[in-house]
Amino acid sequence: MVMRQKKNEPIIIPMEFKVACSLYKMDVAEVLQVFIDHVKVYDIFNKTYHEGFSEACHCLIFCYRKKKKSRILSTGMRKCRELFLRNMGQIELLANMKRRGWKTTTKRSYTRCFVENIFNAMERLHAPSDIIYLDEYSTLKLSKDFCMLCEVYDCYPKEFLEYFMGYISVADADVGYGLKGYSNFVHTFFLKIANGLGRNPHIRIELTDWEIDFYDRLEELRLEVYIIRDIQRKVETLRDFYRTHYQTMNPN
Amino acid sequence: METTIHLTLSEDFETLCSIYQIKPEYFVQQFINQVSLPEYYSSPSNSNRWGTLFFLQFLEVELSHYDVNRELEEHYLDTFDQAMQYNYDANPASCETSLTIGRNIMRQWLKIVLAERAKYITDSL
Repeated sequence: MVMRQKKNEPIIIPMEFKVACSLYKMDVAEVLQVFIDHVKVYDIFNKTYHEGFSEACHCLIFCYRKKKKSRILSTGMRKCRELFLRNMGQIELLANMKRRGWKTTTKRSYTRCFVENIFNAMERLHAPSDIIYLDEYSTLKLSKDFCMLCEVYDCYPKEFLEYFMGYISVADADVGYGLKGYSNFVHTFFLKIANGLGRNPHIRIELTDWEIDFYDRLEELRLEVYIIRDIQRKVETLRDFYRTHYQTMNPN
Repeated sequence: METTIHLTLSEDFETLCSIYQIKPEYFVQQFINQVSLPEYYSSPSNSNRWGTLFFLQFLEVELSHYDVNRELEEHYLDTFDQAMQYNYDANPASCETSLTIGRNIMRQWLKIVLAERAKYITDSL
């Protein structure tokens, strides 16, 4: 069965993503977990910006759109269509409701029972387990919200995660931010995580002399590439530099 | 070329100059001597790189305020970059060749820029 095959394929972590995580001293699994934890059904309906949640949900929607499906089938919801629509309606209602003293966080927490109703009734075709393996050492915990949205959009967790990772490249971002009209909300989200969003605030980073030299040289290289006018070559120059650093930091 | 410039010395800069008995003219002169694309790109890790790096950083921050012929910039920076790289690949040890070639390209660029500007003036007469 095709579906089963895709389900069991390992998640491919792009080199650029590994490089970026290593540069910001983050664990790949840690970043992906923060991403997963910010995916909430509530924020699919929420029209006001909420740091982290909005980006994560947009990422899902963009990923789904990229597959160019004409409409959402939600195969997993077939047997519970009525219950699904009723509970989704409730969540939408909550998201649009304006009442004094009701904060987004409060409203989001109120959606939990609706998500659970759907979660318990749906067929789990795309995300059958609450845990997925990233590699032999690390696992990711999938929330009910995340699993439910996988079924809603007919996408595998692997697809969402790989889409998210695919937008992260420090070299691209370095060059892109100098260009007019450049925006990459996924990368901005990544930088927010690097700055501590959703992570343990008590991490202390210690740099070796070698790393300090690297960051110094990086500052210079970012300026030095000014004379390279070809955007692609500019990105490549920086990418090579980052990669060499990554490989030195992570031999094997 | 000599030029007279009028500067406002900030308190912190003046304090340092006074303490170390540095003449501001001398200091600025040393700084200016370092600003050179041909020199920097012939040997980016040289200890006199800071002046040029300051200039590049200045460009990054302030470029949008300046009126530059973008097409010419693209063309000459490209030529410059390729020449520097070619020289580096061919003979990493020779800074001298690289310097001369680089400086020549910069001169050509300046010449064209000035010609362009003059053309604009004569055209509007």
